[in-house]
Amino acid sequence: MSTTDDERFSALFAATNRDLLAYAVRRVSDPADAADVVAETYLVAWRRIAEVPREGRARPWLFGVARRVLANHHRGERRRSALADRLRAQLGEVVPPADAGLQGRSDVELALAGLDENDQEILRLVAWEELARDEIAVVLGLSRAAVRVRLHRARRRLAERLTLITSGDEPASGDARKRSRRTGHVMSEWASARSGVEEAR
Amino acid sequence: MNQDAMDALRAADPARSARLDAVDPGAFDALREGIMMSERSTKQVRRRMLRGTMLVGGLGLVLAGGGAAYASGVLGSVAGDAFSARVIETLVDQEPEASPSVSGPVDWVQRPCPTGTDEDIDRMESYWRQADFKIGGTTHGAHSVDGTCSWSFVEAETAAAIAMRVAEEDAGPPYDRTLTSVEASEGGGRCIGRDEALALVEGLLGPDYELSPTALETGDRFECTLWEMRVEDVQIVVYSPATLD
Repeated sequence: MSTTDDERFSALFAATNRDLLAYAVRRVSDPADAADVVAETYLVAWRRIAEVPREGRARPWLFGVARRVLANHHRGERRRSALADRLRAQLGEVVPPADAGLQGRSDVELALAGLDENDQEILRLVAWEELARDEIAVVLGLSRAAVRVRLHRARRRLAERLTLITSGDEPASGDARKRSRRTGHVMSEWASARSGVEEAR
Repeated sequence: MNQDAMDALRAADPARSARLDAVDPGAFDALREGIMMSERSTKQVRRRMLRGTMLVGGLGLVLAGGGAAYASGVLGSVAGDAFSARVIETLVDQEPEASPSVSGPVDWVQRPCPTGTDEDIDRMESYWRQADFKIGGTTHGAHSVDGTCSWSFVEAETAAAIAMRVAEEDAGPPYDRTLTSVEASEGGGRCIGRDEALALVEGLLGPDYELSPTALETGDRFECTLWEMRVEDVQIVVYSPATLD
């Protein structure tokens, strides 16, 4: 381990820890989980410090790592790291627990929840992380052009769903699509060999 | 309308209600120090990565075509090891901010399936698929397979060829037949090596297309570079940088 790597990781950590924590807090139901997501993400960065992009691309790279950590988390691979004990205890004090159900959610939260995961994430990255398209491209591993297309569609779908909800035409649960939560791809009809009509977009 | 929704979404940021600024900096220091004292073994990471979990991965093929069309076919494999991808979703789109749309037919998605077997035909007749298509500023929606060809059951190679041909036909010559970048997209499947990834992409492209030497370099993703990623879903995107950028 060179001093340069130590210094680089320390600088990266100092520059991004609050943003990364916010990223995690926004995406977990239990604040304590956010501490573990942050810890595991930085562990990856520490182990791969030589691969972490320089300057402005480091933050979206970290978000991309955190995204995968969260995916593991959502698959049930929940880890409690002793490294995160102190941060976990702090979060329990400063972060209000999220509502587990749909009750009490705002219209826009319901509209967001009704979109597929890919749409949700790209919208969160814009609205909450305030990332530019090229940064989103780093997080999601897409080209900037692909981000532009997906973002355009996601914004449109959010607006459409929000309109339906506010007009009372849309069920609050809003999960009319049968998409893979992981990929957003429509696949249930094909995968399960059931006939019927399915919306692809 | 879109902007209103985004403004509402910004206001709904869950982090706003959290007092993250109140987190003791000492908690972060403890975390950083603990991490920096940990082992930096990449083998450990790699072993976990390859452990057989359902890592998502995939390939996205972006062809810098010369036209206004944007086509994507999302392919999913049915076999874990063999690359027998099948199209499960197809989109054709133009410039995202295209002008007002009207409905109309999309003939090319209903072409006879070149590789469809009788069994496939029988199966796809039991399916309907709906999609929004934008071609030349016109939105087309809701096509059925109609006993002709469903993108759900064509092979990956065929789907790639169709997607590229659509873009070329829409644009007209001259068009660039160089695949300039390969992207990762969400999916699942097995990790493949770089050589295999190259062969896969080249196989999808066929002899008429050229793969840029740097095409795979943009495919790096977290914890698994492109050539290590699991491949189940393949996304083929044909677009014109001039219209999308």
